[in-house]
Amino acid sequence: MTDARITDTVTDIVLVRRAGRLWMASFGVALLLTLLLVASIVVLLVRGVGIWGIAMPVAWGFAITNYVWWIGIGMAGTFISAALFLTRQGWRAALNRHAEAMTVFALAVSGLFPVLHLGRPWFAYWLAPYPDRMGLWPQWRSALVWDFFAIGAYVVVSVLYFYTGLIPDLAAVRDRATTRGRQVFYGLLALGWRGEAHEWERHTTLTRMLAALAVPLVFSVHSMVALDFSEGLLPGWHSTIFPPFFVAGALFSGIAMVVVLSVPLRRAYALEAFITDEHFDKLGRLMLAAGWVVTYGYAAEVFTAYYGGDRYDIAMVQQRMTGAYAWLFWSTIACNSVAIQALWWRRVRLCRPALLAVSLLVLTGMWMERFMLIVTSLYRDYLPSSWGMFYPTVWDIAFLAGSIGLFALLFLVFARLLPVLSIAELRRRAAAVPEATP
Amino acid sequence: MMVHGYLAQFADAPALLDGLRRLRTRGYTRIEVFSPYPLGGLPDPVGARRWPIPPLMLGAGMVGGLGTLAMQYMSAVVGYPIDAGGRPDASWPAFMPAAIEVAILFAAVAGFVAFLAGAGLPALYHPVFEVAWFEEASRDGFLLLLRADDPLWDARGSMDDVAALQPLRHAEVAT
Repeated sequence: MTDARITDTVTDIVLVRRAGRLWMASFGVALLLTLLLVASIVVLLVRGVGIWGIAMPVAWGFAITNYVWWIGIGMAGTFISAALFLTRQGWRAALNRHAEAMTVFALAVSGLFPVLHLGRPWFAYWLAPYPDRMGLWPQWRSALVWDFFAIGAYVVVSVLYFYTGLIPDLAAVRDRATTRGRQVFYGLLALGWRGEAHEWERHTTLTRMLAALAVPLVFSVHSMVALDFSEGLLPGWHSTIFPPFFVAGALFSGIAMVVVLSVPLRRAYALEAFITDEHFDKLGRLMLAAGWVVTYGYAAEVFTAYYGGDRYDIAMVQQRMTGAYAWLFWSTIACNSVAIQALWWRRVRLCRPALLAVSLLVLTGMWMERFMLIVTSLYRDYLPSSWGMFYPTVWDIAFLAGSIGLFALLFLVFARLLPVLSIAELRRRAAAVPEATP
Repeated sequence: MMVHGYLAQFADAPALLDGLRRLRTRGYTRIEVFSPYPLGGLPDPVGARRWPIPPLMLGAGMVGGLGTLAMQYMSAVVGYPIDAGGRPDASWPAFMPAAIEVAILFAAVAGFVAFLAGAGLPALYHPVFEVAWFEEASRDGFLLLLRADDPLWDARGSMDDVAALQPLRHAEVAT
C-alpha cells in the first residue's frame, strides 16, 4: 500500500466521512449512560458512599472492582504500543493508535472510582504531598499512597505517549483539512509539525525512550494495584503471587478489549487492509497465553493455601469454591480459563464473531474475578460474628453501566476526531516491508 | 522580496537522498529535508545532529526519584513521624514505589519538553507553509529545502543547482 493511500484512507475517516447511523445510535446510548454516571456522581456527592451496597464487613464492592477492571483494561494499550514496539513487532502499527486511546480512556474512567470511594472526594488532594498548615504528610508505607503515585504517573505518561505519536498524524490531517475551523483545530494540535529530518530524529528518540519507560511503568502500576490487596492481612489477599497475577489479568482483559474495539472499528471504516486476520490471530494467541498465566494464578492460590496449611487460608479457598459466592468463582473459571481454550484453534481466532464472543466472555470474567477476589475475602472474616453478605444497590449498577458509557463515549468521539490508525507508523512499515500489508 | 530558500519535491526517498548528496558535494550545508516518515541514511548535519533527549530524561528521572526519596525522608522522619508497630521512621523499602513512579514521571515529562525544544515546536508558522504543495510532505512527498542563509547561497546559481537535480517540482520560498 502506498503512502498516499494510507494517508488518504485514514484522514478521510476524520475529514470526509460523515458519522453513520450506527455511530449516532451508539453515541446516543453512550451519552445517556454517561449522563446516568454524572447523575449518580451527584447523588454520591450529596448522600455519600452509603448509596452503594458497601457495609461491614464487605467495605469494598463494585467501585473498587470497577477501578481494578478499568485500569487493567488500560494495560494492553501500553503493552501493544510499547512492548511490541521495543521488540520490533511491526504489525502492531495497525493497532497501536486505538489501543493507546483505549488506555487513556480506560485510565480516565478508572481514576474516578478510587477518588469517589474516598468518602469525601473533595479532599482527594490530601493524597498529594505538599506542605500544608496542618503539618500532615501522606503515609508512605501505605499501598494506597503508592497507588496514587502509580496512577498519577501512568495517566501523564500515557497521555504524553499517545500525543507524541499523534503529532505527525495531526499534521497530516491539518494539511488535508478544508474548512477553516478544522485547519485551526488540527493546526494547533499539530504544533506546526513539518516532517523535517530533525523533528523526525527527535520524535523517534522520544518515542523509543517513552516506550522503554512505559513498559516498566505499566508493570509497576499493576503491581501497585495488587499490593493494595496483598499488603492487607486477609486470607486470599495476603499473597505474593498477586502482583504478577494482576499484571497478567490486566493484559488478558486489555487484549480482550482491544479485540472488542478493533472488530467494529475495522468493519465500520472498512479497514480490512490494515487490521488483518493476522492481527486477530495474534491477539487471540496473546489472549490465550495471558489466560493461561491467569489460570496458573487461580491454581497457585488453591495450591498455596493447602501447601501452606494455614487454616484460614484453606477455609477461604473452600468458601470461595463452595460458599455463597461459589457461582462467582465457577463463572470466573468458565469465562477466563475454559472459554479461552477455543482459541487454540486457528479457525476460532480467525472467525471474528467467535473471537468477539470469547473476548466479551473474558471481559465479563475478569470483572467477576476482581469482584470475587474482593468479596470472598471480605465476607468471611476471621471472626464468625462479623460475617456478612454484599448486596449491590441500584447505584452500584448505575456506576458500572455509567463507566462503560463514559468509556464508549470517549472512544466514539476519538474515532471521529483523531486518526484512528497511526499514519506515520503505517507509512514507515510500508517503506520497511513493502510486500507486507501494513 | 526576501527569500527563505528554495524548495524541491522528489519522487521517492532514494531520489531525495541522491539530490541531498549532490547538493552537499557542491558544498551546501544548510539543507532541510521533509518526509512522511523518518528516513534512514541521512548524512550527519541534516539528520542526526545529536540532541541529548535520553541524558536529559535520565537527569530528570534521577532528580524526581532521589527528590521523592528525600521528601519522604523529611516528611516521615522530621515532619510527621508515625510509629507504626515499632517500624523505623525511615522505612526506605516502602519509600521506593513512590520514588520509582515519580522518577518515571519526571523522565517522561522532561523527554517531551526536550523533544519540543529540540524540534523547535510548537512553531505554528513557518515560511515553507506558504508553498501550496508543501502539504505533500505529510502525505507521500519527499521534499528538500536549500536555505538562503547557506554560505554558498547565490540567488540565481543555487536555484539552478536545485533545478539541475530534476525534482518533480520546485519553487522559491519567500520569508
